[in-house]
Amino acid sequence: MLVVYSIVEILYVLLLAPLVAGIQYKMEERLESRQGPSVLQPYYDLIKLFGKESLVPKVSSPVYRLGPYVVFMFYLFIAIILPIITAFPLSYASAADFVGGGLLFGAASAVKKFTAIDSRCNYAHLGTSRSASLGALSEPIMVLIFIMLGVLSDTNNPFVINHVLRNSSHWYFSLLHGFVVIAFFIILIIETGQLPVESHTNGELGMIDQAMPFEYTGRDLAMYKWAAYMKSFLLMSVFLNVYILPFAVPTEDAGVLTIVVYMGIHLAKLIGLVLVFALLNTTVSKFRLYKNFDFLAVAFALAFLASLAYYISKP
Amino acid sequence: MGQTFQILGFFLIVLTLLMQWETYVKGVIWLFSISSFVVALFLVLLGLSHPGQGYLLFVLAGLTVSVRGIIIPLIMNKALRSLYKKPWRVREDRPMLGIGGSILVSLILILIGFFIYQNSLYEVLKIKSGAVPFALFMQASLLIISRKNAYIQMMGFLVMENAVVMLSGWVFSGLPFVVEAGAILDLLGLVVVSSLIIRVREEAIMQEGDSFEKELRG
Repeated sequence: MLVVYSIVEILYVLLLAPLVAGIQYKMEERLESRQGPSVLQPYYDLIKLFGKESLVPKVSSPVYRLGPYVVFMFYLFIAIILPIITAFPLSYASAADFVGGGLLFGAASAVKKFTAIDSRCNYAHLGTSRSASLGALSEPIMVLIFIMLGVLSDTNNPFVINHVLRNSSHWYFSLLHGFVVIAFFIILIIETGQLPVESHTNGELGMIDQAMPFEYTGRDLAMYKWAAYMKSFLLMSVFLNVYILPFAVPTEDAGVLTIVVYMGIHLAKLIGLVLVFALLNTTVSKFRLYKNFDFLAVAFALAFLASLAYYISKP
Repeated sequence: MGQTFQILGFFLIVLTLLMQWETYVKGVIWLFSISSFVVALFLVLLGLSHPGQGYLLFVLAGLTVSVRGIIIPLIMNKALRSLYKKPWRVREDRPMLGIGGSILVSLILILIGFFIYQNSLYEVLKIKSGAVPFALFMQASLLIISRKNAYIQMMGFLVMENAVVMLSGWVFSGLPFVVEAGAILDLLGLVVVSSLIIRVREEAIMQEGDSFEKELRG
């Protein structure tokens, strides 16, 4: 049965990731009193791109061509090791703990950078450089956040952390948890490319993630985009299921029906979160590029305060 | 109750970090006002947990709200309005430390505050959370040292006083009320006098024809 649940989880992430992105685009447009595209627009874009041929720069190596597929596989693998639709580990969950999951995200990000460098495009290099500068600071903060959650639950297993936060009001309402949630939210904004860090435009002055796949076309670009939707979906799911709303995630004794119902609840949680992002993206102005590091300093400060709060509150 | 005190203490630390982030003087004044309300809430909760001397702490909380939360920010804002045509645009021109840098230094100072407390008063008091006002005190010192704007330096001093009130309430809750209330009223006088000195000095500088922004730097 666990294998079936694993397949369902993969399909759930694979199929709904573009929908969540589409809902966010629609919300942003509606908030600005515009009609906006259909929520299914990301699917239309992917179908269109899959139907087009891929053009590859003459100077690139096979890394460029394989990159999007490798990144896509990384995210598919992460999808089966995180608590997305169940609060109990599925067949392959023991393959990596929280730090392992973080390393897989990091590996996917590194492959994206290799492909961008391999494209020999100046814009892609610019995006890579910016992304690497931010990543070099945001990833240690992410590790600090994971360590703090590890302290809280005596483990690095996201399923156990979910269990601890769901069943212990002491930890759920603790300062440590509060600081970690806010710090992770800041990291989530950076990793999913929301304002005030990144705007979805091709303006040279601010683009980061938009610049990296600048040379990609056709099927390769479709895979790249789909992987990006999945990355956002997975990170948002971790934030919701492990950090902020660990409740109601089906436990081991839950039946198939409960899991199906929870998939709807999870989608509703995601819509709530993308509404917050849509509000941010329509109300907040973008930081100048070098100001992003101040934003990261705040995330670090909060993760650091979480460790002090734990030190003070421990018996 | 201990956890509520810790939440309030850390909230004050976060507010002071925001003061480090804020470059506009008006923003710092409002953040100080909010932090004073938090200190007052802390005193009310402390009063509720000490039924014997609760009424004194309630009076102190009332004084904190009225003096630090309302009157001091109002006076500071009034002084700003009288000195500048666009008071909302008054800010630190070239801060000594960048925002990221000042936040990191602030964190190091918090750690030092914890270390000092741990190796001094904690040995006697055995209250771990007593380190929070110490950390706040260190942060306020940084606010004074790292800024050149006289208003923000004064705010740093007031945050320091908030930390002292918090420490006395948290760790030495038996201290005479009059000492604490006296400290608050002294502060009111300090702010009024400082505002007047700034005003008089600014007028004198303007008469000499020099830029008062340049002169107001500490």
